[in-house]
Amino acid sequence: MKHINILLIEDELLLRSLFKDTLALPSEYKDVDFRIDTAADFKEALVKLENGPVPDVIILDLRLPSGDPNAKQTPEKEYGFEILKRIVSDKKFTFTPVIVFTNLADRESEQMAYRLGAGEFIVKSRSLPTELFDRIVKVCQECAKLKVNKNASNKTP
Amino acid sequence: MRIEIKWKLSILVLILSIASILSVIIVSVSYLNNRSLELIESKESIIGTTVGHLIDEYLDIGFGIDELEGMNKQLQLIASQYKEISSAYITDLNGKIIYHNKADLIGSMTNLEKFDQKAQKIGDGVLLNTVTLNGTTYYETVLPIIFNEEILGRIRIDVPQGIIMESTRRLVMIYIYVIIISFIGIMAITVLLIRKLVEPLSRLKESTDYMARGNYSIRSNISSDDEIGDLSRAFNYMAEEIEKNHRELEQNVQDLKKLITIKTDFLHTVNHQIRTPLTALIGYLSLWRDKRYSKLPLKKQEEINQKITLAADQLSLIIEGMMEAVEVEGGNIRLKIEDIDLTDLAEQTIKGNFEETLKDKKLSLTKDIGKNIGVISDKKYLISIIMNLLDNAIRYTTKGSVGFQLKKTDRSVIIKVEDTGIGLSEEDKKILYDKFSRGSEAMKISPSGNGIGLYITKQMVEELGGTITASSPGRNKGATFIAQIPEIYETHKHITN
Repeated sequence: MKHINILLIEDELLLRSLFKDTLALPSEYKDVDFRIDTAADFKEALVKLENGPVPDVIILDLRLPSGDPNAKQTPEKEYGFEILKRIVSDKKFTFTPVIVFTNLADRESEQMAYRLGAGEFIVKSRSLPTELFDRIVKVCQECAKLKVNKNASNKTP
Repeated sequence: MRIEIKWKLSILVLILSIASILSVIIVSVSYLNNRSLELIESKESIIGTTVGHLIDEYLDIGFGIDELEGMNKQLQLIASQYKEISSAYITDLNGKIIYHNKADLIGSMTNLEKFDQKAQKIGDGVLLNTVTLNGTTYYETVLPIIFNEEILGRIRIDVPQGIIMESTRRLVMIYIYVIIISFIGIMAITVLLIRKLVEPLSRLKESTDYMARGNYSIRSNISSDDEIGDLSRAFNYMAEEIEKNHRELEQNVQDLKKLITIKTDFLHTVNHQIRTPLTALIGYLSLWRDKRYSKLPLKKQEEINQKITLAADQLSLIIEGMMEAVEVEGGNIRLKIEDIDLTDLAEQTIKGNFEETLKDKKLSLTKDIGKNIGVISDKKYLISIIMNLLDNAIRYTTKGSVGFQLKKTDRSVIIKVEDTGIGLSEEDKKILYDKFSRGSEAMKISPSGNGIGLYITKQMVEELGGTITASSPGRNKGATFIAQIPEIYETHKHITN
């Protein structure tokens, strides 16, 4: 049984539940068990990244609220990019691909995301949840190969 | 090279006046010269003729030409009588002076032939000479003495040229004074002329400069009844039109800018606000259509169905909110200002809309509505404001009461809505009136909401010329909203953001 641990960082309740409900459908992938953990804002995301287990893949929404009760709660893409930066710069997540899953469909955001190290850039309103899972699987497979290769190269005398 | 009109005019006037003065002087001086000369000529002639007659008488009697006793005395008499005559004398055929008014010159020889030859004939044998003796020039009238058809001698009367010069000189002096005075006069007139004609033009030019710099309210105050005045009036008319056009353009630009802002906001809203519920809706619909859907437990299917409805509702709510926002942002074109009995309006609004909900939520409503409060404002807006405030208060209060107060101050009315609900945190207060923003606590209590209510309310209050304030002691300690609206709506006095 293969497990794929997903960390979903998404502020909209309805979209989080959509994600989870998609998993309720009998899986198209044999022997794959998807597990989901979520974070709804910047602060919570940091906590999960810091303390939680290393996920196999991170789905990241760009426009996140700060999560700080003293600050304004309007979602800003700066928070999303900041999370991306921290993930990419953290050794812990070397083998954890980040799929940016956002409604910001503009070129600049896409370029920025790739430049910062995102593995994929998917526009929410242009994709279906089932497609997203296909992507997740593909990305994890690639990453697994990478992991294996890397580990293999470490062992070479 | 630029030569201003004042110089052109001055030079012209100067040349003209100098030319005319000079010509007058030249003509009159030469005329006067001639006149003096003529006068002298005639005087000399008369004198000469008189002497001639006297001599003739003597000769008739039998005297010889050199036997005229008392002739010298006679000549002296003439010379003293006519002061301008310097010499009156008689010469013989050889040129010897036989008689002279100056005794010491009698007997001396003259060499006047050469002058005689050049003389001018002015009458019967009378000559007019210009004679120069000892450095002085004289006008000399010469009359021949003829007896028995024989010339015996010549009578000569001299007037020094200087005398004529003298009178001419005096005249020239007078002329010079006249010239100076008239020159001053001409200068004065020229300066006045320049002021009257040229200066208004300069002022007019200044006005055009002002206009060019953007000051369209400048006007010319030149009102003379001539072409310059016409120009000035034409300028003012043109300035008036330009100012009007400019104002209209400005107004149009402002309107357009406003519309652009509304459009941009609208597009941003579409982008951010609509996409999320839309994504959820499409996403859930795709699950619903998935072939595996029917394999799900019924409970799960039901959940998915509900979420589809929820997403659709949210979407519709957002769109509704957007429409309300655009309508209220579009300006006060749709305001219908009339006399309103606000007391009655408030009562009706509360009665019709909230009694049910209040009962369901077990909240009490306290009303403190002043009697006979009348306003001149827009009915629809007032109803909306009251409803929005009460709706909010009731929605975010789970237990306790909601208080509604309507009272009048000196020039406005106060609508105050208090509740014992979730209150406002500092964070809430910052985004309270923002479009589509909802506080975290608010979202928990009432998940379906588009966050547009207070934004609309604020727009409406301000459109009517009023202000809205919110206060709260803190989380779960209730909130108070106060809308202050002017009693009489005044155009242009609303606050535009």
